[in-house]
Amino acid sequence: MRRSILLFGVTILSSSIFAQNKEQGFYTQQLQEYKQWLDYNRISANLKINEITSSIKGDTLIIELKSNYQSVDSLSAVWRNLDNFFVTGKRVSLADFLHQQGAFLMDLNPQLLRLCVFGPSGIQFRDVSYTTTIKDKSLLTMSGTPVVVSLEELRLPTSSKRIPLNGKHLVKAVSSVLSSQLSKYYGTKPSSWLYSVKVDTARSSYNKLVYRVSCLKNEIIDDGYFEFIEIILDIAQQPNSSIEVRLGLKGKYCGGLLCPQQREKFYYSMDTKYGGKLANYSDFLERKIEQWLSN
Amino acid sequence: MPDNQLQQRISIQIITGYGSLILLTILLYAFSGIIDDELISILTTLSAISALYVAPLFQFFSEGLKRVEKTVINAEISNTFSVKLIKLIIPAHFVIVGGLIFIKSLNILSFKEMNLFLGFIETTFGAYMGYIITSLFKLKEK
Repeated sequence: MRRSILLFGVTILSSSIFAQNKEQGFYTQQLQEYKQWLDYNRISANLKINEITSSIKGDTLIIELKSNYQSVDSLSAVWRNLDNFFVTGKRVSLADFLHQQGAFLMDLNPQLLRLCVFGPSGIQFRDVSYTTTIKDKSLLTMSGTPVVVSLEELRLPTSSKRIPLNGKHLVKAVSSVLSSQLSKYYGTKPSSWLYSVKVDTARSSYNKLVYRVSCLKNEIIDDGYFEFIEIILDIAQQPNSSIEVRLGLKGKYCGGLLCPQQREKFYYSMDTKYGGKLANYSDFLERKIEQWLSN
Repeated sequence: MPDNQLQQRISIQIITGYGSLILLTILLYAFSGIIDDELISILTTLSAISALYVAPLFQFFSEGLKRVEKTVINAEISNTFSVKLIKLIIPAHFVIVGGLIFIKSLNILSFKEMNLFLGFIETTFGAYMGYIITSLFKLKEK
């Protein structure tokens, strides 16, 4: 009896270790994608990120970005400039932008991802986590004159948009129209006996719709690959009695005869190879949303 | 052409196996079973397999053309266990590689996992296959 219990315990322990190693392997692979994404849009170059690592603490994944700046002041100045650029141009903070993409690529609930930025000599500069909103904790204060940094070289995705809607007053009304129209639109996409389109709305809340649509074909790219898209719609009441919808779009693709559904390890990010097509699709969705809400 | 029946059979197996793997990969690519980056990577791996199997074979053929005297393998050994094993292991190797590529295209294995298993198969069998083929076709280093 004792032996059986011991054997059972060892089996459970070894299977748990195996599962953990498999998970770690996936994160390591996705971390490379995240690094490529940072390199592509040149955030890496601006923040001089020379090392990206990940670790797991409990059920939270921690991504650590290490900057190569010689002084914290320089890093802080660059971060502030980038943040201003994002807040004014995209209505999203730099921390939010980095965190959202990280959570998408790692296929994690945002609450389960923490982002830490380290400055020179391993000093922690930023701690970005998510509760109901992104919490960006600045851990250092700046001294001296800020460094002026040119941000002209940033290549930001155009798949993020703001749609102001005058004459719409109720967040709930807008979100319910969008919710039903999106379900209807993606629910009628062609399927075959090898695959069928799946729409996951589990991450949606009152004023935030998160639609994860998998097993689409020829929706964004025309190469016949499976596509997995995530549409994030933030619906916010504006002071001038209007509603603003913020649209965020992320896309992945993979080959295959059978659809891997939402199993992320099979997918590659569209950002680098199909960035233009993703931007076009974002324009298309913007027009669709305006059309749905104008009725 | 090889003199010996065993050599002839193994030669056909290698050429058919290698050709089938290339054909399977291209077919899967045509049906979007694999993406272009994966196609390049798989073809690179297959070229490594070709270096292992097809290159010694062509070396043997070229030696035949030069009329180098070859020792004919004794027909009696064709029924031994080791010969049966050789007859089986070469096609089995191609079937495993083809199977892995096909399973990847069904999205049961990810591309990274497929590469991992391919690496394992090549590392495990590669050296032994090299010995078998070199000795079978009498390709001794000069």
